[in-house]
Amino acid sequence: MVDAVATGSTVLRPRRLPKRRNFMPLFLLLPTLLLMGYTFLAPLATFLQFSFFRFRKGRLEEAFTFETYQRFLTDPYFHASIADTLYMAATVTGLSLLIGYPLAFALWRINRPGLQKWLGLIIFSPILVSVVVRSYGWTVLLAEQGPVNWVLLGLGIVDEPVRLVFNLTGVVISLTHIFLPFTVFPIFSTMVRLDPSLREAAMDLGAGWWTTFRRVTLPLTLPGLVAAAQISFTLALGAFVTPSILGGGRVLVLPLQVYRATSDINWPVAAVGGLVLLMMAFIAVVVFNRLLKFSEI
Amino acid sequence: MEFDVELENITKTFGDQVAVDSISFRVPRGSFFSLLGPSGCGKSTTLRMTSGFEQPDSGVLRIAGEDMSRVPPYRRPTNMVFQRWALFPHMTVFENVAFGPSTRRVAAAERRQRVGEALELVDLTAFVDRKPSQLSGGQMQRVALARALINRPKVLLLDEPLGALDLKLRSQMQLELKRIQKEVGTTFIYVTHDQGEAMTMSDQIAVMNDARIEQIGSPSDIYDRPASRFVADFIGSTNLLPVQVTGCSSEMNEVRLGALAFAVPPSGNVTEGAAVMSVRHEQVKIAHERLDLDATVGARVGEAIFTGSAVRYVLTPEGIDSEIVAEVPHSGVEAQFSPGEQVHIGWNAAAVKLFADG
Ligand SMILES: Nc1ncnc2c1ncn2[C@@H]1O[C@H](COP(=O)(O)OP(=O)(O)OP(=O)(O)O)[C@@H](O)[C@H]1O
Ligand SMILES: [Mg+2]
Repeated sequence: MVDAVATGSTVLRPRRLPKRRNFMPLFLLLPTLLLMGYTFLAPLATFLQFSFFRFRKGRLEEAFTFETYQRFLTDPYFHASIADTLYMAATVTGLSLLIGYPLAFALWRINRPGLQKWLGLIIFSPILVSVVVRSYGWTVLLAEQGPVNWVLLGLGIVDEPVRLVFNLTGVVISLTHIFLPFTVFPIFSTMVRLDPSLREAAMDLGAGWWTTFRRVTLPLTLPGLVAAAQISFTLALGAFVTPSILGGGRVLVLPLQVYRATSDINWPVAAVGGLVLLMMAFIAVVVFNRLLKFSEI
Repeated sequence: MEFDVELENITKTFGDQVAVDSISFRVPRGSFFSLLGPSGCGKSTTLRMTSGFEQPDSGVLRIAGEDMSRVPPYRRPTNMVFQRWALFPHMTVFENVAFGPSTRRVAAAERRQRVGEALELVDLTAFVDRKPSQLSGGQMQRVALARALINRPKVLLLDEPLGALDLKLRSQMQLELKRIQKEVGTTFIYVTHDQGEAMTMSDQIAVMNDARIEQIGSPSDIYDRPASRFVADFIGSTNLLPVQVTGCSSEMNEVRLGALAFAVPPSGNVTEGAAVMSVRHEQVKIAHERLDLDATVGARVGEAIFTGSAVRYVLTPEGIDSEIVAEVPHSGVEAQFSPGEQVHIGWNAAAVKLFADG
């Protein structure tokens, strides 16, 4: 009996092909892995180590303490900073989508190739100029005697100049502009991938322009919208140059806190600030990925 | 007779490309009308002007007697079944089919009932909650049909709806479409480049070529009495042979094909001189002994091609420069002919159509 089973199994067992490991992909990944290890993981480990040190009277003490973590959790000063960062990222994201979606839509619907090319270039242009230059440009534009206030005053919309710069408003305006290419193009790419006969089908079934947009175009371009939100939110979280130039020292978002701490050689605060930022970005990525999966059919 | 769709001298150009060149036709209410023609001849453009997606440059288009020049697509009493069906991928079968009634503000209860009826008509009730990506091609095709028919259009427009299906499913769906058309009594305008498909389903066929309509008629009209050389060639399979017309009278045309001379009934605008004659493959008879037909000639069998239901012989006739193809139904009892064999071929005068050369 045992014998029979044994022979049976030898007969039925499929012939195994000799196992050949393919090392090629690993080999190709090696430079990236090394670079990532050296520039990302190693500093992260150092960060982690520093975050447990103690900073007293301008001096760094190599200890093991949760003191800095405690401060971030309890100190209203840091709470405000975290809240500001999130608030700024959220407003920039909201504004980016509000401006980016119609822009992408316009870019998609224009059927004059020449005009389309120019509009695309204008949307893309922020990338061509350095962040520093762009940010200084905005301080000029948004200044109390700047062109924006001049127009607002001239049209009688406001009675006295509005404070648009050296506060959160200026930072949000400038960041939205800078992120425009990163929000418009993901949305635009979902639009051009849309089968044009779907919109015709909707119209054929009695839907006017608005119904077609609401029930067909918008739901099918939602993945692009979510991707755009994800990009602008995470970019805004880590923005440093723009808040430091246009914030005028009043917008103390986390990246600025980290920078300030490093110049004070307060490594523990810089480390914990950096880790908190990393956590927020990580959570944002996870949440947006969830949304993305949900928005796709 | 009432006509659901009437086109008068409709022309459409894209840039300097004439897509539709002054075409006119009328589709009787409740009939199955096909636009048949080779790729690029303007079939889809004609259909898209009827649905309102394209505006004609000139001409008049009426649906159910009303001029459509100022009516946008979403207000026309037509619905379309698209070539790749264009189902909404983010909606279930139910939502897809209910889309039309919902834009027309049909109450929810009635909407549900109508969706049920429409899905029943196409035999898809079990699939209401599926997404299009979970359906086979044939099922998607049925959903597209239900989605269009639920709106009770006066005219249903179909743009090669079976083009993406395999052969078997195609012929099954052809019968199904015809059944549904009879059941609902809606006017169908069906675009296809497949002559077999048009023949099977249509009450009337308009054969298009190069932006123009060559002939409109019933399937048998078009098959038996092609109005032009193009139609004779495009529908079925035929021998087109250059001939000399040596005599024209009201009763007879004298024709000379190489060394062979015979008389055929008069047809159309043929004058003396060079012309083209058409004789269908299955009208050419073939035998070992001499045939008793209006025109006969000896020939040598060049090739024998077995196609399943028939055998096609390529023949080289004596004293004629062109090859002639004869098709014999294959039932296993007919005499077989083999390549190289000497045979007699012939046809009857009634089987010959003459067209002016050119
Ligand atoms: N939007 C357009 N812009 C420019 N040319 C077009 C457009 N639509 C159609 N045409 C041209 O008009 C002609 C007729 O096109 P149409 O789509 O009506 O052909 P069709 O008979 O449906 O062909 P097929 O069987 O390949 O679908 C073609 O030469 C095509 O290139
Ligand atoms: Mg077409």
